[in-house]
Amino acid sequence: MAEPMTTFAQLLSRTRERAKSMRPVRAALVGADNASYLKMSARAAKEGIIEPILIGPQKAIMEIAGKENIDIGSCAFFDCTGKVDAVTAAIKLISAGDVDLLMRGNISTGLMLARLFERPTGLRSDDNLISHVAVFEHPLYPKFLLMSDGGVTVAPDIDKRLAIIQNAVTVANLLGVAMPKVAMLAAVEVIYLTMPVTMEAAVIAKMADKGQIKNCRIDGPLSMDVAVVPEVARQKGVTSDVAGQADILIMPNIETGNATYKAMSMFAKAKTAGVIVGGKVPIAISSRCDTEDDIFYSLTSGAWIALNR
Amino acid sequence: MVMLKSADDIIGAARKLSREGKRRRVAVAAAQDVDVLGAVRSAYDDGICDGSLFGDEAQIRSLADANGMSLSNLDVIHQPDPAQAVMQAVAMASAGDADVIMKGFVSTSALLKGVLDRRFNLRAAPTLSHVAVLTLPGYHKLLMTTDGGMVVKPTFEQKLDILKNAVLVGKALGIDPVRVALSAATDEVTARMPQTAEDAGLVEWIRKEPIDGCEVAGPMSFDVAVSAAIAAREGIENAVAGNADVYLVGGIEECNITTKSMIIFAGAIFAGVIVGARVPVSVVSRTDPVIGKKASIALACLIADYYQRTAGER
Repeated sequence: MAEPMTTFAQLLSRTRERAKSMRPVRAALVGADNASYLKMSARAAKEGIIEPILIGPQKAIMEIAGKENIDIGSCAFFDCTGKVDAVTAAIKLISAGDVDLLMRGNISTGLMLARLFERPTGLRSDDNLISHVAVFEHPLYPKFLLMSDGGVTVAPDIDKRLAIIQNAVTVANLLGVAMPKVAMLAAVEVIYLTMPVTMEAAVIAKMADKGQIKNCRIDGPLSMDVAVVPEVARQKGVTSDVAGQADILIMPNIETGNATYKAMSMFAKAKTAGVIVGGKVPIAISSRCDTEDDIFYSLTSGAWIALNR
Repeated sequence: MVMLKSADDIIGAARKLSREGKRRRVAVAAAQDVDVLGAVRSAYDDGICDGSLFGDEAQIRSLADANGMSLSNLDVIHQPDPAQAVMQAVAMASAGDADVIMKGFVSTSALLKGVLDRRFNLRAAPTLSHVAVLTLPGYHKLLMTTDGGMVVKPTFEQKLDILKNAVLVGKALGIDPVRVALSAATDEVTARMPQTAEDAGLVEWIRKEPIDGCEVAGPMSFDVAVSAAIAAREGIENAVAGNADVYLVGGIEECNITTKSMIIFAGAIFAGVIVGARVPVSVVSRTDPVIGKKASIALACLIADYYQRTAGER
């Protein structure tokens, strides 16, 4: 496997090369009537990594593009007015094999996911769990930091947690990290019988030790600082090969993942990307607190995943 | 009182108290810990507080020597047994001779056992909780998060206690009203996420049984709680959205992990305190920077002062 990628700039350049040698990713923007998403889709098209399909009210989209001076000349359209219709259109395109990537635009995540994965539309590949994986690039961390799940599964049981780990490991693998270091986060780095999160983390770490979880190393429970700050890991005497240098943070529940993602984006000013994986096509998904650049990073990450499936 | 907005403000306010003749005394339980000694030394030198160090005197003196630290003007009371040192520090606070109890080389649970010992009559609220007070670059004021240290998974009742404890800390910081956001991963009440229903229940409860000096709203996701622009864009209008003083979460992991991510990656300065007893309990961590340790002690002093000013009302 190639060297691990550590920045979105590297990821973009690799995605560009790959798209050139294969073909640009056919990316459907669900709810294209939003200036930021339209702008970033046009930017990704210009970079040669996607061919946008704009789903939404065509007239409104054209107006936004005109007003904001966004070049959507190369984009295909799928005209529809309602939000639900937009998701239905996306489902049709996926089922027909006509798109490789979805991007959430002007539509709520809840509504989009509920419609997309409602059975029997068959947008899950086999019975995979779908989960949200965040990718952060931050000047204080020497590599990408992945986090899951802050967006889909509310309170995963141990089975779902294993699937969440597997999905995140797959994304890390695609970013060139062959054996990602996975931290099962908790409030502390030891096991307390009064803290169920620490016990589940310990069980999963032990399953990894026994070779039951592939392609990664896992330690847990770990506190956030022990997981990502080598100095704190040393001071607290945690000597695993994950402590202080995690590639993936597994969050105990959706509330923790969601608030941490937002804190990383808003206050830590991390470059962020979000993707939902585990379905037939990846879904690029940014948060409302993200910048336009972050939307572009989500698109780039989604495109790279789509190109490497 | 003016509203304090940063760790520097908190330290400054504690120094001002000292200058006005209301210098607070910190009783350290099992003071044979170099980081705790350093924190108390620098707090004393900054005019924040006085210190009474209960612990193994020989160990305390050799730790101070080895680190080139003077113990002048700090009282050292020899007590080699940590459990006894806890009892003595707590007794001093109980007698009104110390205003803050500080954890030294002893586990938090052993310390709190002493604090909660009925003989000392220090129990006040039904629940002890931890409040983190963050100086968060990019936010226009202090942001408190709770509870990331004490209650693992609060019941409805405990959440109410945690809320009241946090409101007291807010008042001690001069915040009026204290704006409390009840955390969730979304801003709507949804059956899929039980925490949103609990938040809604709390809001309703407080509507019926108002808590003086606070505004409470939720469920509210983090970005809406702290960004007026996002709150406006989402059409969420209430007294808390975009302007939260307190982010009250659903469990210890949520608070601990979110708070640490802001300390590590957003450069937030952390001051922490355990509240719910008649005196605040200060716990500093070895990994806190000097300013954070000092701010933690100063925060406890301000809370002690607030408790004493309002003792009749509570």
